[in-house]
Amino acid sequence: MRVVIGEDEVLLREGLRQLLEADGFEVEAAVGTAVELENEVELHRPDLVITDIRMPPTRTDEGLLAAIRIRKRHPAIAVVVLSQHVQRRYATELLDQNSGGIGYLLKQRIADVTTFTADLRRVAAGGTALDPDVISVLVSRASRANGVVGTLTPRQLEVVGLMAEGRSNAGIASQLHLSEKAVVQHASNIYDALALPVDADDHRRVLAVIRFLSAASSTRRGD
Amino acid sequence: MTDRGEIGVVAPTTPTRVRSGRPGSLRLALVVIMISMLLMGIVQLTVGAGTPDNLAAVAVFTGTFWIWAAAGIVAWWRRPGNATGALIVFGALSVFVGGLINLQVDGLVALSVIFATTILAVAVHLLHAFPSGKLRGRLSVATVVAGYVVAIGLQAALYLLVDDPRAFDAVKAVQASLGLVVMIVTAIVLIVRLRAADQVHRRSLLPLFLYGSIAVVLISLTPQVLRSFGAGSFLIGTIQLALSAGLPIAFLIGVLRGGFARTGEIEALSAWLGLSGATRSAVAQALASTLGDNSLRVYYWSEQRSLYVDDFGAPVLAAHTDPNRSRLEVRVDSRLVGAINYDNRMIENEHDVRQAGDVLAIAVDRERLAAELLASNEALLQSRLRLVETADRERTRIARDLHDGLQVQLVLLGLEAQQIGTAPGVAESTRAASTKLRQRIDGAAADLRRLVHNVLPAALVERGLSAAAEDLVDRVAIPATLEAVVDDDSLASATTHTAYFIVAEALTNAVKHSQATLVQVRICQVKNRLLIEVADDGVGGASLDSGTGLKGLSDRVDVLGGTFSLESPLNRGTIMKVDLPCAS
Repeated sequence: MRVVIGEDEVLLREGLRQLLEADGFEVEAAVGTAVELENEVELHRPDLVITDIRMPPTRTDEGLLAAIRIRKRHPAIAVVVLSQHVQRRYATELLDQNSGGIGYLLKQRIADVTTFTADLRRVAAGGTALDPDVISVLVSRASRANGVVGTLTPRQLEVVGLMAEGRSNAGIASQLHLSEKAVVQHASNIYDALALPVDADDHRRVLAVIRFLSAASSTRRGD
Repeated sequence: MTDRGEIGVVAPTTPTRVRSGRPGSLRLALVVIMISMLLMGIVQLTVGAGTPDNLAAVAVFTGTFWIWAAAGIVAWWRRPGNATGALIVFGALSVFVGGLINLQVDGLVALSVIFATTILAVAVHLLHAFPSGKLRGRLSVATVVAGYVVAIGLQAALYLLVDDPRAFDAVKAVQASLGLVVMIVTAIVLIVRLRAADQVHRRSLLPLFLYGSIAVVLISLTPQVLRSFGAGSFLIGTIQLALSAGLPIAFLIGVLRGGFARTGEIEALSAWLGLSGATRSAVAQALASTLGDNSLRVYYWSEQRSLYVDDFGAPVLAAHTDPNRSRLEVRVDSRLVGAINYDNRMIENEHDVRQAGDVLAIAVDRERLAAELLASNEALLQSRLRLVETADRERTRIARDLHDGLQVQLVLLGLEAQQIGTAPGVAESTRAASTKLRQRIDGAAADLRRLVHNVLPAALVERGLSAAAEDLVDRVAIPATLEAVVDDDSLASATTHTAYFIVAEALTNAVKHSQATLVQVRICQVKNRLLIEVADDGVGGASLDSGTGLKGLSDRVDVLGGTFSLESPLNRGTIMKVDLPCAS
């Protein structure tokens, strides 16, 4: 799998490159600015882009804006955005399209190499990987939301939240101390509640996450 | 002091009226004089009624006397600082004495004859002393003294020499020629003064001088001229008196038109200055009005520039060669603070100006203190603002250092710890230990993340106030709403930071103390103001003194020149409203 990395901190950039290469990724380029990142993406058309949010010159949100542009221009390229702090607004902006292939994680998650690389592969395959930190915000908001998402039970919200993180049914089952069968049942109820068409399970998962995310964001807060 | 609008107490075009708390004894004296003169006239009329042949002449004299008396008292009353009024009253007395001859009482006739022409000397005196009522220059003094000698001294001599025709004629000739000299000198003095006067003064001086001079000449010539036409004594006397009666009225008008009335006492002025926080131009106006000279100007000494400046700080030309203008320096503890420039023809008594100067000194000193206070207050505000800005810069620097340094270090440490466990051929116990270590490093990283977030949230750096407030509201443990209509880029960083920390603190308080079930945050930008409102439906009772961070925040708001209000009645929820300036 071919990857382009955007990260302005040299040590971290090289650390990422090493761990990815050790895990079998091909790192086509690793750069320190958003402009270079977009240039390298145009050049290499990688399967996956990993980028920091804050990068020179303004060190505000150009990494995020670059990621959104890359997604718009090349929907086939998956993007994982890394940050020191995660927040709902950025997750919403990233997942605006009706598709997966998006990851939004705290930088600290890199350290758990196994989970991190698994997240990267899943995102590259069209899945999602939202950080538990931002998921908790979304779940608490969704529980107060009106509309369909507001009708989900707390357990169903937990399940859809873990889906958004990118956990498999088995992973969800073990985290929630449920049987895998029960998780499948919950997922099916969630799809029904969100009126998702019968389709491949993976795609329905992504759609459920997107519905969940946009509902949690767009509903009038607190109502 | 800074607000020139305070002049509104005093309309700029009308003189300031400073009212004295107690009417001076002068007024009382004038009332007494008025009553006395009324009575004198009545006595004269009553006695005159005993000699029916002369009653008409007595009545004309009494009428003229009253006209002089009334004009003199009004002038004195309205312009207590001007001697013209007293002089006119003196003229009234001479008219009174001049009329006593008609009563045909022996002693009074002698007195009356001696003082018969005194009124002419008084008229000359008035002409020389106008407008202040005080004689200026030796020539004027000499001329007026000569006038009195001619009118009283030589008249007395004539009375005594009435039995010696040769001597009588000689003295008569001397009187006539000396009288002519007095008139000529007076005419010259008046013409010189008219030429020296400015346009405004000339307009009021000219008609008065003309009438005064002509009246004096006519009064002295009327007897000879009319007698040659065979006119009777009564007609001659009446015409003379009519001419003389015009004099006090002319001088009264001249005095009142020359400046505005002196309206108050110095003490009243000083009380007013002390109480009302008068502006500079109001101080000058009040002084001018109190002293009765509307051309009076107050100058302030500028120590930095070593020159006098006017109300507005514009320099005043030092050289003032106009002999009619005097300048009195005003000092506080021997330090020069200003000067009063006044018309010495309007104010004859330098003592009054000196007293006014003392009052001005107080006002100027008070103003200096106020200015110093304002300046130090301004410096204090600036230094507070710098402190806030420095604190914000430090905060930003610390957050950035932690973000770029320690947080990255922790990611790398976690990575290394995990890699020890995942290396090939590592024992299971090592693998487990390395995972534990990595998790503990993750925990430390999470703590650090919270710390950095509290010091300066990432969203504030990356996106500005709305995004940061949104993230805050997202993470509140109780239901919260946010309405934000803000152009994040237009806000100064001190405003952004202050607004953010206000919302953060209000939300923290709501969660910790209010037991609210809903918090509503509104941030909107209206023109150059940023309005922030945080309202909850909790138990209320919050106060700035309750040890929360609110006090510090209200101080911050104060530093930026905003307003802070907190309403928190018991069991009725809490509303915090902040209004911050945001120059865009």
